[in-house]
Amino acid sequence: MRRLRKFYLITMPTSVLTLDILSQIIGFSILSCFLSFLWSPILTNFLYKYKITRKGHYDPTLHLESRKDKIDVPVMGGLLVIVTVAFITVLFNWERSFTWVPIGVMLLSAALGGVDDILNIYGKERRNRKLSQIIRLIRVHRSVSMRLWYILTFPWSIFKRASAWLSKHPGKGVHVHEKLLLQFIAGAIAAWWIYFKLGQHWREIYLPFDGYIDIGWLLIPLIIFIVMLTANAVNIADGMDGLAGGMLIPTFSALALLSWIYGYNEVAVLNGTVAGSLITYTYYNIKPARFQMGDVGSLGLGALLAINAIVINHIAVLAFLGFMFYVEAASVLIQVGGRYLLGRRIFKMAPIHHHFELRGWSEEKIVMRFWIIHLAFVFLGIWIALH
Amino acid sequence: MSTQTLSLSEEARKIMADYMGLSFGDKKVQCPYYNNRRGGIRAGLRPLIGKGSPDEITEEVILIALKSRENIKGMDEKDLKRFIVDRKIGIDCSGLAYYILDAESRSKNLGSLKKNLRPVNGTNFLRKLICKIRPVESAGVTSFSSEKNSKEIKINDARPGDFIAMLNTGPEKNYHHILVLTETMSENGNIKQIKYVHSYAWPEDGKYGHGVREGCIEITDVQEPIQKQIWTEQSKSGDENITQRRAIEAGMTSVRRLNWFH
Repeated sequence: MRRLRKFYLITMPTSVLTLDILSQIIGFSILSCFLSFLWSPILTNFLYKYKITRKGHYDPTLHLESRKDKIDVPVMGGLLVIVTVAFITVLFNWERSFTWVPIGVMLLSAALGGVDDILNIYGKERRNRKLSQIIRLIRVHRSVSMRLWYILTFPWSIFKRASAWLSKHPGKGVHVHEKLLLQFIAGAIAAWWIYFKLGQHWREIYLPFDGYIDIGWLLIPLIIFIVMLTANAVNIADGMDGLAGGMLIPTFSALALLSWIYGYNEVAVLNGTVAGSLITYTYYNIKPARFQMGDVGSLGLGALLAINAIVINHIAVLAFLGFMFYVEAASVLIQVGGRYLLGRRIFKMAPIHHHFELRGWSEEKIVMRFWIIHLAFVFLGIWIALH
Repeated sequence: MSTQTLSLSEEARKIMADYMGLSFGDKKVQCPYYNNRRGGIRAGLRPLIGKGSPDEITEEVILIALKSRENIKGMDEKDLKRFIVDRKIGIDCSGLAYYILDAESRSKNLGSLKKNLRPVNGTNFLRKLICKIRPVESAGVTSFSSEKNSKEIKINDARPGDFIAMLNTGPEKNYHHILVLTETMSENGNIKQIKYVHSYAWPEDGKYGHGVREGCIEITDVQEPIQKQIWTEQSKSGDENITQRRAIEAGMTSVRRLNWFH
């Protein structure tokens, strides 16, 4: 299946070219939706059986009156999407050029999120020494080899402490610095694949209203950054019943549409499969949620979202297609900046959906307004992508 | 005999009242004294380093209670105060002075303190930048009492919005203190009484008794320095009054007025 150039869209009748592909995309969406429905009871039972449920030890938001009913709700519901998408793609859409790496990176990120979810339930308390404690150990530790070890690993310790600024209490799960490192690896794999394997065309970025620009090797760090940012953005947005799932449906649907329009048919089918499965997930995730996405879903789908937008060469419109996810991520960064630079909270609580919650908005109101705003920006993104 | 009483603007009095009774629903709690010298927190949230406004402090207390699963609605005033002190939240003397004087300056249409107060600690670019983005944290007693920002005035000229600065005081003469004048009473043009507000901790306050409170200075002889007048605070005067003792011990104690208030 070859990629279509833009002028084909203008000169060739769509019905002749790709309606069969569109039919396939929708068909896979429906298949994915039904398959998810079929095995969702199994997943729910599994999560309940092994008590993979949300605990409130390190989550301050669960102490809010309106959120107390979220304690003991199963997490890792994102497995419903991840497993279904991986299963369908491997069986029906396994194409070396376009689906191996997105699925691989999605699974890698999902595995990272899964480990985090599991550790948060079954793990032990983990400590994160302050830099002053490490400096003290370097000075006073009776073992010279340990002193040397602390000296050699001091840059890593600085990275650890700096990363901790971005998180709430690390609790038992994977620490931020570990997450960042593994996400970096996932991003690096995606960058390597796109830059070195897909061909010259993907080394240029398509800018709407302008054309292609070649930024050379800078594309590699850009891709890594976007994959990391998007994965974390979706993860951050997954804080209310139905929020992330409901926003991901239009995003992946739009990506499916754009992939279809530009002739990336495998990617279009992949996006359609994700959107279909997300419909089932969101059905169960709407308040009161039967299960929650967990890091396994949010990190995996976030990474997949970024890669799929990059593969169809529409990095620029990703800002619109994932608008509310980036708003959520930005709210966290602004809050951290406000705290350390200005000494005050910009929002009552970050991410921004908690700010509105503390201002008295109901969860349903926040979720639906975020959906609507997101949908509007997704439409804007599609329109921009067509220029 | 004509008596004249002057007091701070309504806006400044409101700030003062908010500190003296932080509002948690129907409960009012005196804002505790907290100085970051011991804690040494760098780049922290203002309420956690003794520089928060009343609203910021209240909000931070509520958020901390939320995070630590404490039900502050069920606490009485005493427990609430203990909760706040135990979480190392409060206001220091210069933080309190900043917010009150800022409100006073704005109410007189003289602009904010951020705009008017000139940095005195260091002049390099980074320090200036920090002063710009963190004005409250950068405004210490030395900033207020610097000649760049204020001038010493005679006791008889004192009026609300002026302040008393004590430099190099305490048993080891290693800290400074500031009190804001809130009310003055004069008879026939001679000042008789000054009321002030400050955030301070006396040793006998114990762990939980300190905070923002008012005091009074009876002016017996305007020719004598301010620290030689009769200070009353918490019904204690003379040697028992620690605030006065600190004023006497200080390397320099003076009544001052911000330059743009003249």
